[in-house]
Amino acid sequence: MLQLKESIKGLSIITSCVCNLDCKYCQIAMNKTPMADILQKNTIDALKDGSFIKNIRSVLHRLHQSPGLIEQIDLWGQEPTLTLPYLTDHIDEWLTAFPNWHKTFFSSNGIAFGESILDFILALDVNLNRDFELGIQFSYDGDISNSALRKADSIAIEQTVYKLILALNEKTLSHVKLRLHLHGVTSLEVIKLLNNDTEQIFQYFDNATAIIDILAKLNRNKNVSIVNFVTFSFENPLTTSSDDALLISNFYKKCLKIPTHNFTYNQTGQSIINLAQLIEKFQTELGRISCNYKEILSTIANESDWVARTQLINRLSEQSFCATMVGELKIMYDGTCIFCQNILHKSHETEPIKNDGTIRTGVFQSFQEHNIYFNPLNESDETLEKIFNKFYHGKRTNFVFMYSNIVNLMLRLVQVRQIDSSYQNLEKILEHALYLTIINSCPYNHYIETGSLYGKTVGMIRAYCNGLLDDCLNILALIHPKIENCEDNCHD
Amino acid sequence: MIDYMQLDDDELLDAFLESSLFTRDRYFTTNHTPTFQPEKKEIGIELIVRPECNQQCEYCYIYKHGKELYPLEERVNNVTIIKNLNALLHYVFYEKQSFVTRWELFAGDMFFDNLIFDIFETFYNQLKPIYETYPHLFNSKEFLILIPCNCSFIADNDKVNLYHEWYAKLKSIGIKVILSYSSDGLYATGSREKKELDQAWYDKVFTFLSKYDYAAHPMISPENIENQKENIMWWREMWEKYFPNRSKAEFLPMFLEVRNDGWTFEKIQSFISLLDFTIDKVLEFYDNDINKFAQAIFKPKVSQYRYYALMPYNFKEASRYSCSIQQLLHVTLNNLSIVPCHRTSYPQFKIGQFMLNDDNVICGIKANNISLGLTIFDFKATSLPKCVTCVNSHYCMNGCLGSQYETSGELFEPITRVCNLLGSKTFFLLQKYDALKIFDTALENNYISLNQYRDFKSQLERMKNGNGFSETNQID
Repeated sequence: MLQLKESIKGLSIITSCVCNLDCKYCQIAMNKTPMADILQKNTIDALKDGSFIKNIRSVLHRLHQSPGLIEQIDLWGQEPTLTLPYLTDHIDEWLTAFPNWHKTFFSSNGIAFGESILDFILALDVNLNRDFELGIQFSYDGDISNSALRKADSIAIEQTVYKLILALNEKTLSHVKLRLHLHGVTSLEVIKLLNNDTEQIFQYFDNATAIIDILAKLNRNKNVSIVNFVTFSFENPLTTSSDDALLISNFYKKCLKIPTHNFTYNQTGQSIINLAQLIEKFQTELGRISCNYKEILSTIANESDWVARTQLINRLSEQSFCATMVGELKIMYDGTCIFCQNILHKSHETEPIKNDGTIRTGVFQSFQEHNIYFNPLNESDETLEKIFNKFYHGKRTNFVFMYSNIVNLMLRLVQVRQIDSSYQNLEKILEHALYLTIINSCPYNHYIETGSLYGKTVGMIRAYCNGLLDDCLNILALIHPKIENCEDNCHD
Repeated sequence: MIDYMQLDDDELLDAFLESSLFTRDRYFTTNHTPTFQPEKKEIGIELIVRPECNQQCEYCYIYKHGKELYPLEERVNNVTIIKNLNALLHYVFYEKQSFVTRWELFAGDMFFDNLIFDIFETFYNQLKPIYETYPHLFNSKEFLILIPCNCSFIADNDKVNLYHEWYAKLKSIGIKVILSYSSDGLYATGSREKKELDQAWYDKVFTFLSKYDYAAHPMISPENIENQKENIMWWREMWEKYFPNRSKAEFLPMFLEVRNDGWTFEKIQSFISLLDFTIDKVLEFYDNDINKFAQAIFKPKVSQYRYYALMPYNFKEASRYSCSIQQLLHVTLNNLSIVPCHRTSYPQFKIGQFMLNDDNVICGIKANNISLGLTIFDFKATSLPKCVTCVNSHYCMNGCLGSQYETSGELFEPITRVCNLLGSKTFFLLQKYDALKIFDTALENNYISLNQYRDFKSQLERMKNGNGFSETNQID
């Protein structure tokens, strides 16, 4: 009998297959097919007639999983506010179908006014009999959004959040705890547009910080909180040349030089701090295991204690691979499961994909042939076991392969001087490779750039290893000098 | 606009080829002093000539996946193949001055339309001047061209005569041609060759092969496992008949397990039974002398045959994958692409390409999937996802990346049924040898070290306990 190695406790439901923006760096938009409008119509129909819920429950039943175990349902796909009203209209049915559901997150571009979001929050609150955590993220790139980059309108986004907070100030929420969050992507294009000009960079981040201050002061609802800075993150740098890498590193060095009052999170310069946070998270986790990377490597090398070694590999692997298909399902209106939302339009493509020799089309062709998207209702036990086991083993045992892959690539890159010469020091490579293994944990990115779930790119390594990773570690040392020692964290 | 990333990638690929292939075997420096150092690790080039074949074997990867591995629109005629081969050989031997001595010609059959003889001629013309100038190079290192071949060409006397002529001509300039006979044997042909192959045919083939350097690599597949016991005895019979002057110990050819998803529990049981049978037959050859058997398995003399199929441990170098994927540079002759290997030459995995100018001279290298290419060349088998926590990882010959990709869409995802097969093999051999006291005998006679002995024993215990192996590799 089919038995998943980990119970399904979360759902990422694809509630929208179209968007009202066309961002340059959006992977879903890059993979868009003519199917998008049909999928959107089908999704809306399924939200309206209840078949979305029915199909999810059927899939869970097929996988011998209980809907009662579902704790979190996130809304994914493209712009969720375009279909949110249909979910709102049937929120009581969703809450009944998943009686333990108490957590949701979604991200919106904030272009349309937030009435649909407000209605959703209020409907949820009225129908609930339990506490509920709701996180909403608005994509916000600051002033640069007005350019051709995202075609977004930052003023419209600001006003959406402003009006939402204002409206919520007039309401009482009994069960919903709402967390609002503004998030921006510092892409290479943004960096180039800022022209490496210290004043422009400062102004850009300072303006963004000012918006947060205004919104925080506006909020009076005790059940609503606002993350106190715009979490600028770095566009996944997968295909970076050494020249671009130097540009990125110089940008962050400029950020570091901006007077920032000891880099507290609500000041400007958050971009690099937020990026550094990724490393911090891993440093903290490492600290729990050992304060010395050599100790980690030696535990992995020590095969005489097989159990301890396996546990460590499992633990590290879970951090370097997203949760796709392990403990959660990314699921569409008809029960189709996809390992990543970026390929949602491909999932229903009926025409064979023509391979034009590029890595990307080859990978998409492979998706069509190898159950990267599949409907569990139509698959045999054997096929389902293979699919879920693939991702389970990926998530549990990837670390050593990916880590040693990065070490090997760094050794190759330093030979041709495409990364900083300080990496001639093998110990530095061994240490920094640990961070790089964790920083980019997206199997979709690996797949699309290399053809393998586990393939790290030389572009990513060039981006980080021309000063950027050093900058991140330096800033972390400034913020949290104790992490360097991590005496308190060792072996907890 | 300049694509700096492409330039960086091109430079990286160029540096990789220099360090892994060209520099190590450069045969003279600028002052024309030979610098060849034979102790350096050998790396060669596999030429993926073309997929066309005169046979349609059911489990052959070309039969199953040929259209994807070698897209029809990219296939070229023989004239282009030879032009590209000329350009590549000139680049390697004259431009890079690299004395690459191991060449393998892959895929399909090259005899049916005499393409192979044009290939021989190209090698001859390119290498003759080097042989005449630096004959010592050919004395210090054997120059090999290995050709997997179904030998159907020997039905045509003209082709046999031509082969003989070229074999002798190439030998005269120090080039050794070895045919690797692709046949599973009389009792296992059901899934391999479509046409009827009777004993008379095999007699003809072996009569031919006995005159030349040859190897054989019969495949043991889920499809032909049931007849393998009779088959092994048949191979022995043929060996004794056609190679009477060579050691009888060599009767067991280098069987290779087809590592695909067809190994069900029942098929694995049959495979284990075959191993048991084979060990008994080899023991029989040594008059049931455990000491001689242990020596043959663990410490064969230089001239002695190695029973690869019966080794309880992985015979690959610790740092290298067991197949040729990390030992050869694989180049397709249709367009001079560099690919990971002949089983993984899908377009998205193409590592790069040699670029030709209008004079048919290689003028540069363009990178494609350089990240994957370097990953494949450098990874350690024991680090693979799933393998890294599998107790059999150090004893395992590992799966075929191409077969893994075709099964799950992921190159580095071992096929569970293949894990079951290879894990069961290790476990059985360890148990059998332990019961026969072969480890004790090997230790007493210094065929293995104390550390190796302990490792075998502890491996057996770990597998008995199912620690690690059972977690990831359930027998289905």
